[in-house]
Amino acid sequence: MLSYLLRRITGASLVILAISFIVFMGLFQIGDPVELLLPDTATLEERQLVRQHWGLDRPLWEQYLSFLTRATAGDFGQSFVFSEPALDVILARFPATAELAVLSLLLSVAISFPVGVAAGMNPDSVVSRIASSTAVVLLSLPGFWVAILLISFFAVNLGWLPATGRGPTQEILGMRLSIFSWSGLRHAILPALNLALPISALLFRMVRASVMEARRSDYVRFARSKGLHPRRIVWVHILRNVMLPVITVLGLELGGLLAFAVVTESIFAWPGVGRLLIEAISLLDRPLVVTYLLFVVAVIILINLVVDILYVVLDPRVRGRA
Amino acid sequence: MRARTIITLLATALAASAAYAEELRIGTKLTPSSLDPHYFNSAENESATEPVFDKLVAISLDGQPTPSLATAWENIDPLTWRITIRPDVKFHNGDPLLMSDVIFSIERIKSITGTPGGYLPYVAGIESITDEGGNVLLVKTAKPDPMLAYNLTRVSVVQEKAADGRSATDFNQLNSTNGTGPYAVKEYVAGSHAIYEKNPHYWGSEQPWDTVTVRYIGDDAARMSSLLAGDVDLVDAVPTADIKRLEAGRNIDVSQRASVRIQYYGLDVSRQESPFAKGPKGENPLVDVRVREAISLAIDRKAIVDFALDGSGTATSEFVIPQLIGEDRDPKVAEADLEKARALLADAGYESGFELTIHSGNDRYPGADRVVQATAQSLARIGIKVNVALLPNNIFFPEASKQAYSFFFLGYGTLDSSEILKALFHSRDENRGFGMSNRGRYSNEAVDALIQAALGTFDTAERMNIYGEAFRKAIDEDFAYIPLYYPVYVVAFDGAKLGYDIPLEGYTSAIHSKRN
Repeated sequence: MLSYLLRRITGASLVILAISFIVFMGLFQIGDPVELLLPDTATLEERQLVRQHWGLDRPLWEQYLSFLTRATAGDFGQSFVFSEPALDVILARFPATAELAVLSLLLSVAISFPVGVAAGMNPDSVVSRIASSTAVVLLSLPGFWVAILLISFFAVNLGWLPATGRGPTQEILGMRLSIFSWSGLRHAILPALNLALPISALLFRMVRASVMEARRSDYVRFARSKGLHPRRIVWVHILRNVMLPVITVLGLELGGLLAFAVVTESIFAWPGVGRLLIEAISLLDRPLVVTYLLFVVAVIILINLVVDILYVVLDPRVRGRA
Repeated sequence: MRARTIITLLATALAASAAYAEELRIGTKLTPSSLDPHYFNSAENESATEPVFDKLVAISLDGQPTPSLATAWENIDPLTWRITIRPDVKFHNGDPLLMSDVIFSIERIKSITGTPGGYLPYVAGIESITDEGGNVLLVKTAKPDPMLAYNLTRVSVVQEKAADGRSATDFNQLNSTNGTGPYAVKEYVAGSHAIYEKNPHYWGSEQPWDTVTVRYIGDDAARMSSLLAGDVDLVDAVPTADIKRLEAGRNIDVSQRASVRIQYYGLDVSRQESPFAKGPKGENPLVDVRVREAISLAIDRKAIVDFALDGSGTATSEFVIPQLIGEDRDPKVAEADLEKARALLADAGYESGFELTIHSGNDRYPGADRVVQATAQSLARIGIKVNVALLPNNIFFPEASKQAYSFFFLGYGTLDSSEILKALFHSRDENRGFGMSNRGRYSNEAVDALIQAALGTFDTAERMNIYGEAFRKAIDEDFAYIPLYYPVYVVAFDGAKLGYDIPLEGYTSAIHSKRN
């Protein structure tokens, strides 16, 4: 197990290094952030001072090397726009994105599992057919359009939920989170729903297909002949086998939600890291963009690692080989 | 029984609405990057800091300096000013305003490093400030500076004790945000919201609100929805397409005001060969003033504003709004004259036209893409073969500054004509900081002389005349730039609860509102 982990970590470090190189080069090509960031009235002297301060007047390789050396010490540079350490800016906004992502995943599992299992056990039923068509529709609708629709319906017309923004936060485990209060939850429901709908559609189809396949397998037939209650067969035996592919998908989706929920965050004015990335790119805030992408890569690698470990835990067959 | 129920309900409603009415909720597109008022000169940051920090001199609704923390400013001799500071001003925490705080604020702007900046030009001319006693400061400038009072309208006063040695981070964490303004910052979450509360020690008139919550909502549709859903009382940057819908909403007032921004075309007027403007022999047609005049005549500005911007703009053939050159009138708009334009082109030897590419950013100025395409069609009518290139602003802007383009769409906004003339119309002189935004490298000695004269003229009326003369020469005679329109600021709010006066610079904050 230990050697497995060590191999994974070494591989991950190489990936992060490669990404840092690509991103750095790419941003360098785009242009001079000083022109964008300073107001028109800035004198040449002011511009030179800013360039010197941020090290933009040094050659590319020197800038990259200096970035790497400082990064190993944990200093990822100062954001040009915020004048605060880039990593701090990202970490300050990460809890908002994280809680939205977790809430969305929970919602999508809560929506898709019961319906998926029911549809899988009775594939020709009305429930199954309606759910399948709905899933196709949900997968095809663009996220920003559904978001506007949700706001328009639930906030403007019905007035049940707030239109935008994050609710009041409390300090929990050292992070500021909002979903543990009723007011905070009210603010989080619409964006979480917006993110959860396409994921539930995907999960529904997976669960349904897995359950349909499991139904016909030998161990289910033996369990039934043994006289086990159908509910136990489904929820204890079948579900365990369904979990494996589902966990892979959940891991992938979690990575996507944490890194790239930009559209939903923009429309719902949710102060997370996704919006931060877009703003940073618009303003060519290099330290922020580079740090953000490295952060995202690290998070996704971590999630994949966790998923792989979960596999080992859940599936005895894999355990033997690991 | 029924009557009593109704009365109770009414009383509860009144009580609820009375409690409600003391909080103002704003949904704004302008998301600040810092609460440090010396950090970066942007509309976003100004809107966030102007309720908290007073400026030395305030600016009235029509652009004139008015007393704020400075009650009087007197020009004793060309290099010296005597500034009287208001007595008995207190900071949010009750500390008194000291002369050293004012001096510190100015010094801080001069010495701040590592920020995008932008306030340095307003204080760079100040050589020394001394405390004369009796609430009077003596300011000495390096050169005669008639614009000192205007420049001081950009200087926010912070407390030395709170801000000395502190950085933008301290302001964002509310360690240094002790100001003299009508509201204090109670809470700030970057990218999300800020909560202000009434400053009990404020020297000015009573604030209409006890608390102000400002939510940063960048997405236009979401911001409008917030107003319609009743989550906020005021929104800014209303898209023109939504104006009718909002006006039909219950109690919603929509207010518009012409901004001091000008949207214009910059032209490469200096190089003999230009990358995106080519005549039949490869030369640059834009160096010929007749070609530039023809282009200006071919553009139907009123039609562009009506169709490309849905009427949300003021068409103009003048670079600045007349008020900025001291004339209280509507801006002049030249009618399109295709016959004359074609004749001018023929005179210049371009009867069969030439090739031109118009460049523009597509994500910064609303409607830019439509304006530029409409312009391309206008120019095609006089025989110019036009291409349009739209780019993300973060690529377009630096490239334009590097003179990579020949004909490009830009905007500029300021209350001060001398700033515009200095930055755009003066020949480029990097050492003295002239012409820093003169991307077409326009150069006319006569105009340079006028600008230099204006910078040293203390009499306001005379200075305004010189401004007018400089613009007339540069725009009406030389066609150095082609002005198109002034965009409008549009704001929508709950008319039953509040009134709102849009300031000239288009900032959005509680200090321009009043309770109804």
